[in-house]
Amino acid sequence: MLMKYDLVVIGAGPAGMGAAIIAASHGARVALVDENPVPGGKLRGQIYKEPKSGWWIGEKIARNMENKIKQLGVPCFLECEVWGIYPKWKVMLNNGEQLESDFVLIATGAAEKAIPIPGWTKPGVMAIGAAQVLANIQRVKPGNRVAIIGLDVLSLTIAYDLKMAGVDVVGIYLPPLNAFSSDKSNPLKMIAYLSSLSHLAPNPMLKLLGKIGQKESVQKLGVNYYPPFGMRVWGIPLHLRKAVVEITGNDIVEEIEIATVDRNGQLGRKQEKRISVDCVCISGGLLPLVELASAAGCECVHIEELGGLIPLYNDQLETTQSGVFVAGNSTGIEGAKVAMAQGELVGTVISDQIGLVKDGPELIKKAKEKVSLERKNAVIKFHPGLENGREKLERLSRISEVNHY
Amino acid sequence: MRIEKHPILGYIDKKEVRITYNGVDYPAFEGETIAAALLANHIRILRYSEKGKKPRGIYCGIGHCYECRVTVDGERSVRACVTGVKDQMKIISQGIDADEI
Amino acid sequence: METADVVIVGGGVIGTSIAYRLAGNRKVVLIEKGEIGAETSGSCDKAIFLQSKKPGFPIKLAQESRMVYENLEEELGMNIEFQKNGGMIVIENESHLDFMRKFVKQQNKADINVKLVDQKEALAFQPCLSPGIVGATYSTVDAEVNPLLLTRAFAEAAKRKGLIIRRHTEVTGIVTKDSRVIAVQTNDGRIETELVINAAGPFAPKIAEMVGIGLPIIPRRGVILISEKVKPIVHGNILCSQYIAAKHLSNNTDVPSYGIGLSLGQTESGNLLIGGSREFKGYDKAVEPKILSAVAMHARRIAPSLEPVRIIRAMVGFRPFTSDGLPIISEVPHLKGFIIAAGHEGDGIALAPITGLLVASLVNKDLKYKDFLDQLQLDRFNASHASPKQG
Repeated sequence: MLMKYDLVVIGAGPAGMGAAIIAASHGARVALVDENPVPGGKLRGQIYKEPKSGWWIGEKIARNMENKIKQLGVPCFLECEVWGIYPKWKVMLNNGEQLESDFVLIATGAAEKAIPIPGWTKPGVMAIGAAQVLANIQRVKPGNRVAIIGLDVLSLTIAYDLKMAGVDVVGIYLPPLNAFSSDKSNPLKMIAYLSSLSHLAPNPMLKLLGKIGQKESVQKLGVNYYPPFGMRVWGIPLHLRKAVVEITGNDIVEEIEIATVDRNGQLGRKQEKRISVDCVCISGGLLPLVELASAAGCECVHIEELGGLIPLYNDQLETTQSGVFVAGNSTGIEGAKVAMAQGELVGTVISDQIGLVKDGPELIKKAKEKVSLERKNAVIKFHPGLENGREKLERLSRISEVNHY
Repeated sequence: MRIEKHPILGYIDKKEVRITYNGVDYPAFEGETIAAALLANHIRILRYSEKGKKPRGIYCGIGHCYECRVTVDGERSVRACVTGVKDQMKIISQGIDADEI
Repeated sequence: METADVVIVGGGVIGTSIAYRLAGNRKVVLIEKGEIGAETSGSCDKAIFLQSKKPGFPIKLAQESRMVYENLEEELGMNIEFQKNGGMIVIENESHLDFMRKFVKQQNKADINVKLVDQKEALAFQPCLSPGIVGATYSTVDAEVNPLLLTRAFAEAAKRKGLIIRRHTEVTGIVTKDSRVIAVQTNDGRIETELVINAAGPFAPKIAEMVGIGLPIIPRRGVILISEKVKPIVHGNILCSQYIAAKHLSNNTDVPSYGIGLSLGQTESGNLLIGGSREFKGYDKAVEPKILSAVAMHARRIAPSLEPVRIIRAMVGFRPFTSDGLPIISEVPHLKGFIIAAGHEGDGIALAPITGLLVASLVNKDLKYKDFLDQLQLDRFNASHASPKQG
């Protein structure tokens, strides 16, 4: 069956819903597709403390957006997978439906990079994001005693989430040095990373960590003096000198085996003691999902600071394929508020291109300003070199436009 | 394994439904995913790998890695982490039945 | 100034196989515009079929190559998933039965061990097949290999012998002087060399054009579907008689849409490779969804067990087609130091091992494979194609 729309939005997270709401409220015929049974994406699992306004609860914001989508009568294709996008433009769904539209927004978000560790395929080992989904959205504990491997903003945030959910977090450890662990298994790099978090004020949780990273005992005396028993953050031991070298258990996770590492992450002796856990969460960092954009023929570029391979896009978030837009984490790893503002920008640009708004340029300018503002106020920055990455992308985008026109 | 009262998110009101997993009857909440419902019932093993017949469970939790594939009401390779439970749903773990593909 | 004894253009299974044979006692540089084995050699099926080859020279060439496979794994020092699991060609309708009967007789005469089996036997060996088939041909000499591993194994073994690989490097020109090659120009510098081997597969005409040579090689687009991992359900490789009819019957009017013919195999990790289509579409990789569906429907009709299996990807490749179904492994007239080794169409995997040896023999001028090389000359095609353009 073939259905015709102005805009098909793929991914009902903050970016996708943001775009759908703006475009539909301007009168565009919009369809929203998501593979989950409920819209909201990862936004639904996010909770953090804001310096002034207190708790920011993603679930509530997602519900509000979902209600708006319903009020606007936007058809939602839930539990539907997109298996292809064909010119110009047909979005193919796995239930056999074809959605035809002039504009497509790819807002598929991000997935997590994997760090393979011996025993990691055992049930009970999961990506850190899965633990957040389980605890904050599904309200099921991922485990009763959880070990976290990998130190980054996401794993620290979720460690706190788990603690709030009543989970015993036995510690945050480094991954063993291998081809996939990169800096994440290097204690020196991780201490430098911790101290970079202090710039992330105003998030009070992460600010505390930044302070630890800046502590004399840690920074100046160096990693050799990092206490072997770790330091406690919100009661969770943070081990920067220990790596989990193996996850063991009969059928499911039962224990982790730990080794001390030197300042560069090289393994020392294994510890006699094994720690009993029923769940291990691995945090390898986020990776923009670009498969669909790539399949639609959008040119992609590799920018480490934005999370890796991303589609090339201009200042209106249009890719090198005209009519195909991107927003949210598939444009680079940033927070939900930036994603939402990006989605709204796309919704505005498309409404203008269809001719649904009178003062298009002014609205677009405002939408762009909102993206910049959200970026400036972001309480979480996933990569310390984010601004650098954005500049690289803008340069590449300009070169690409010169070549295309 | 359920979080009855979350300090920030509070309670949630959910309607109970019944599902079966490998022939055994379990309670679940309407709207939750198959993976969450099974974990709430202390079930972590969702399938067995094709070659080594090793157990597998939830990994990415967002439908990307396809590690949590189960057979639902006869349909193969349904992702437990992004599929909502429905009353009387019959779920079978993949990789144990000799007759299956 | 960078110099090389030989520059090979193209890092597919053909280029790497040649590199492996040439490296060692000369400086060999291989130039690849993308990644090793990432185009045609990374988007093909895994069959090494002998029974389907035309009698005469094509079979002789394939047999010679198949013999090299016997010890290749050991020689290259890497697992390439080479398996002697046999191959089957399914006969779907009565109308093909007569033709296939003659085909088997003719192949037996050419010393190819292949037999006709009835529906019952075919199903006993391949339970995934439909009871609706009329029979099949089966041969124990057919084998299979993982093309990704094969290309990598050739490249790694050649590297150990000193091969230099330049990935993400494009040839932008070939410099000649007095009808001799003197250098290769790339987007990343110039390499002085007196010998260039054009192993660019479907892109070989673009390279030959740089020295004014028109190659009778046309890209033929093929798509293959990849399934999720399933338990072993396919033994060896399966083709359908549609494929043989299309290949051997020049007056075959029963041409399926998009040139679809079944090619079914299973990797060691359990994924099914389900092919395929054969179309002349230039270098356009955008395959319409209806072609993907048509490939899937065709496969499902012959092997109904595939019905519940999920497709996770599709891959598209260009096969370097020539009008007589044989590759060109040849020097070119009027230009010294330019060798063509391309045009294998769907036989690149089957013929890669022998191609390396043939090119090495050509370079060494040892006449070891003279009989083979005589049949693979460029000038067997229309003379107007082969002569360099004037000016």
